[in-house]
Amino acid sequence: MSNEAVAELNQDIDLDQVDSIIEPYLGKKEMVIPILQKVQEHFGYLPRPVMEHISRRMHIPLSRLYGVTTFYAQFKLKPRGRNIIRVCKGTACHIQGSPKISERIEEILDVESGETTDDLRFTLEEVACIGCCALAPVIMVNDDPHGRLTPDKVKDILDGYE
Amino acid sequence: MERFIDPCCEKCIHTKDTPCKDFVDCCVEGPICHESQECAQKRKNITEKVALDENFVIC
Amino acid sequence: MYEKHIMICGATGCLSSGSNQIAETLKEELEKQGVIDKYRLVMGGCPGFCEVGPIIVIYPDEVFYCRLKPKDMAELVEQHLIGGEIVERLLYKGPDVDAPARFYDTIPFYSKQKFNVLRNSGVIDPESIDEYIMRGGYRALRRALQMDSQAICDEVKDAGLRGRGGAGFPTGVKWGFTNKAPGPKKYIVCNADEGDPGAFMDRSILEGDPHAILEGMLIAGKACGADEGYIYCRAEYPLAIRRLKTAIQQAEEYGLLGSNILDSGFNFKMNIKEGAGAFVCGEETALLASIEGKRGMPRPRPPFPAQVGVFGKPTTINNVETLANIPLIVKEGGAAEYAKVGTEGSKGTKVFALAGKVRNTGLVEVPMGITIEEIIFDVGGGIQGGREFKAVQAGGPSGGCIPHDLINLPIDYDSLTKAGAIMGSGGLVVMDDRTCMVDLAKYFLSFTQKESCGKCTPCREGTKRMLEILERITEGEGKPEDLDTLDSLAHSIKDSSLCGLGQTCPNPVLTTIRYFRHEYEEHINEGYCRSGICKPLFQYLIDQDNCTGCRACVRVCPVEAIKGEKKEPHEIIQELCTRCGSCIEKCRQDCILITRVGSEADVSN
Repeated sequence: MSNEAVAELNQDIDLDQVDSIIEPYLGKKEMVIPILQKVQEHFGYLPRPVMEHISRRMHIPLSRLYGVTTFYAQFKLKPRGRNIIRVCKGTACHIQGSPKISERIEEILDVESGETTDDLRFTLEEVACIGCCALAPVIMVNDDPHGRLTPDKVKDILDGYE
Repeated sequence: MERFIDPCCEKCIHTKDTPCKDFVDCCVEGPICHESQECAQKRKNITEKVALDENFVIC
Repeated sequence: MYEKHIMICGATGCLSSGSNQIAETLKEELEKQGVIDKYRLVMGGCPGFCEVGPIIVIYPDEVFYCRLKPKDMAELVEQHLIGGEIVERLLYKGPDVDAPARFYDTIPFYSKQKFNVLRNSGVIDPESIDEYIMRGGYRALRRALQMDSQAICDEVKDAGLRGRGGAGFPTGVKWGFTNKAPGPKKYIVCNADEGDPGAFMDRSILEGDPHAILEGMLIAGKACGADEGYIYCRAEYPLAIRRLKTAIQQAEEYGLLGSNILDSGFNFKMNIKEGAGAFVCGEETALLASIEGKRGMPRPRPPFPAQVGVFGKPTTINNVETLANIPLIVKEGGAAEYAKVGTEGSKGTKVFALAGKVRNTGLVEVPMGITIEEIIFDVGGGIQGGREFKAVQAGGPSGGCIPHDLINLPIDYDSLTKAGAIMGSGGLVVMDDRTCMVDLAKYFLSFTQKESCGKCTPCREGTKRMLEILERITEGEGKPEDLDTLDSLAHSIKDSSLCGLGQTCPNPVLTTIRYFRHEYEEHINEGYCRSGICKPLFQYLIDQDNCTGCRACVRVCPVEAIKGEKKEPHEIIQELCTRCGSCIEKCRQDCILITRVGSEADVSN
């Protein structure tokens, strides 16, 4: 997604919602990770205006807040697609052929790992291990695991998500 | 008495605010602080309901 | 009273192969027959055998049904539950048994296992504290509360328990350090940030037996003089977090957490922290920073966490599996019993996540000292498709590869370290002749390179350089001096990094060079990847003598690079082939060959 498109989305953010999330944690700087987790759960990502707001309310410099945010893989600074594809990059999946699965998905969607399709239909991500090693190679689309994949099965699976 | 935390009779005083040191042993082997067939049976009923086989309960 | 108990595996592996639908259909069937009250249905912990999931075990008969589909439920209800006759069709079958097998006694997968840590997994309802207590739960806590702190540390030391998180430091000694540290406020931290790709034993324990962790932490608290605990758990494990929260709530209600526990004057408060996805947070000082809401970066030791830990207070950090062992040791007579299992230097059992190209994948708990051969061939049932065993990777990105020649190596802390691997958290990934060892080293390094926090230059820059070299080699542009450069970089990184991540991340590269040097040399000097993984270094050819012309490969090829008539041997057009591997997966005759680039059709491998 382009930066302009993100900026446009960021205009309609309701900061009151953020306040109600922060409220119980005011004055507890060590709780910044749970705050970011809850805020992201609400908005789907961490919009810039929200980050600035948290910074002010929690008295944490914005730079430090971004320092924490960008350190952890869970936090996203850009909106994500309606469907999240997580390709398991665990060892078992790797040796059972997950690179071939990623390649096929990237071909079909024309995005690379970490990116979102322009129509916001899919976001493609990698995850260290889903823990379904017996079903390797595995991808998760939203909460549905799809295991024992071969590259030729990928297209049918993706077609099932709008 | 549906769960171990429920008192078997008025003699059992264990709650989180008024703890009894024998509570854990008492769950399966009790009652410890008094003698009552009836109260022992109440505990047995709880274990028998879920015990998978004779080796399930470990004292 | 129930007639029978139906334990449905509700762990992540089986859930993803559909155990939820199984449970629902089963419930519907029981309702339809009007017998639902006679049976107790539990979505329980993991019996370990993920390969054949979804799994149902029926007690007291101890019958193990596997590979279930919703449509099997009607038969299971009518024939077994109501009729009392085992449904043979749904029992375990495999090349390692002569006849369909029932359970522990006859399924080879279970034959060499010993359940210590997984003693309750799949047997109790993980959301019931009563069932945990029936299984002897919280008795060790009760005993510990009457003991002197140092006496508890000594018992754990005598039992020979070593930390299951990786390095294998004696747990009792670690507790002793925190116990002796001055100050009234101390913490116990449970490291449940299981980030090793390919390892999921901690998750299974958390999901299957959460009270064991709480009890372990409480005993640690008593032994260390701590009154507050943190469980730092990966956010990617939502079910584990939910079960932990339920367990904490129950323990508080029962007066087993909180103040004046069991009238002993001992207080303990439990908190859960959800990790946010950073592998380095498995490192103890990084984990502490993360609990404090900071970037999870390690710091130099000393001071060790036992002196300066969370919020600057003395802290003991233990791994999930370590804590799950504690109640067994501290119970009456437990320490001596515990020390009977295992080897001289490594006591007890270890849980492994057995995965990769082994036939029986899943979670296994075996006594320390079992050999690699026993684990792969007896428990694991050998290699998938009867292919050749090449190596096993132990310990994840910090571990190393153990080659076929060391198949008789006993699995314990010291033997593994000697072989260049580590126990690590317990991932065992089995590899066959279609796994490229150079690619594997590259895979692990790309993982650690991404996860390096960037604090120590040798780790941040060195892993990047090593990865670049490995990438070159797998692309066919390796140089003869590369191996020496890799070796020198690896040792610099090991010697000069602050934390475990940097100190161990070159292991996969070092061990693959040590045991599979010829594969590296083949890549570099001959431009050939014999495993058919590194794309520029091989080509597929169709074995003209054995191809039956079934057209399966022609249909599956996404770029139409295979031509040939039905019942005539097919041929691959090398200019079009992208080596995606779809054909080799599909071919039932095993006649797609991996050959050197430029070889002709008659060359067999």
